[in-house]
Amino acid sequence: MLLEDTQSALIEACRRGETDAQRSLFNLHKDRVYTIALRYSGDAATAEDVTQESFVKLFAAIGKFRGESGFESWLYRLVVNACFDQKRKTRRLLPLVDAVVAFLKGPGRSPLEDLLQTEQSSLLRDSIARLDPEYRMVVVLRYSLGLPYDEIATILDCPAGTVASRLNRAHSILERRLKGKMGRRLA
Amino acid sequence: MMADGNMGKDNWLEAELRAQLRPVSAPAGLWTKIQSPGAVRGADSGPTRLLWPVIAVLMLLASADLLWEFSKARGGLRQTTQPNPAELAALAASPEACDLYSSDPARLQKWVKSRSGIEIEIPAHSSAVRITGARVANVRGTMVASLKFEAANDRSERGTVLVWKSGKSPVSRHVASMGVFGSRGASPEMVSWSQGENVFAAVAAEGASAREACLLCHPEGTHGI
Repeated sequence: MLLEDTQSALIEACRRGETDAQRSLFNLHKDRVYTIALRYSGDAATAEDVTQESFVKLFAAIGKFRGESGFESWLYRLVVNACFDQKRKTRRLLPLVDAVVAFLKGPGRSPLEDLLQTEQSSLLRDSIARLDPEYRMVVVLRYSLGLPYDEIATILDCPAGTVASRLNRAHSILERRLKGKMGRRLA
Repeated sequence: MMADGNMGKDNWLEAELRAQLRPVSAPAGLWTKIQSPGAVRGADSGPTRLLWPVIAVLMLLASADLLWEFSKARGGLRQTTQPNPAELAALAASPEACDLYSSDPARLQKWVKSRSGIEIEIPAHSSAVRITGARVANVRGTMVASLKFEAANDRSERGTVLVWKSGKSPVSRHVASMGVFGSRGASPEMVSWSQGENVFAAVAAEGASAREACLLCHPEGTHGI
């Protein structure tokens, strides 16, 4: 309740154009906004662009926020739209650097286990990156932010049933791809 | 709230997804970038948005001007494709017969207009010459109507009046220009003039006078030509 009151006060102050309030609101939400952008795009530079764009749009349009939906849902909708609009210039096909870093840092496991774990992670990220945008966004909102179906439905402006079916479909695709690739490599 | 039905079904996959897509912290310095004008690539900023209609109008004007220049250039090209005297002489001397044989000026006028779009006026009666038929030909993209005539004298001299559109703006004078290609007695004699948007060329058969063609419309005389 205290957080909600604080947020409402910040929103009001942002409507008046107070920079300190804008900064506080930014600090309150920047990590989650950046997380959506990064996990959706798979690219840090693109995620930064999306985050900036989302907050610029947020402060420009905050006067239009009427509170019909929650502020977070409204903000995340801006982020989702920015993600969909973003024309990614550099597609990251293989997150090799992350994989190598994880391999070098991984403690307490055998090199073979580490290698397999790293490869599996790499395959999963690659498979997520190849999902259709609608499926990928549902997966990101669900597993990055842990949002319930209803809230994802509000953000994506679709029925909750659609969210469930997209998530199911995404699971099937990912499972099939991972089993196929891992199965071949481990055979 | 809707039940989240997938929980537990794909535990290994869900655990992997949670691990792979775990939340991250935004990098430092983002706030500074947001505050600096023009920092956001591709942001729909106000001034840029306002410029688009202006740019669109300018592009439209430039396109219209380009089209105008192009159409003018085409008009210029059309002038250069006007039939030349040699082509006219060949057309007049062509052994091909008329497409329509008639001495009815109204019928010939209608026929020529329907085939070539050329509007000509031939008086209903002329005591000096008699029109015998017409033909329409395409000379390098220009439709040319040929009107065959013969003099109403004992020699029955024959000739051809060729008519085509000049492609220039109609002129107000009855006869805008007149020129004689070749000389009297040469073979064949040709007289050319323009009237309104049409250009006329009268070509006489060998030994005859092209000026007889003037009698088609001016039975009272040829104005001293």
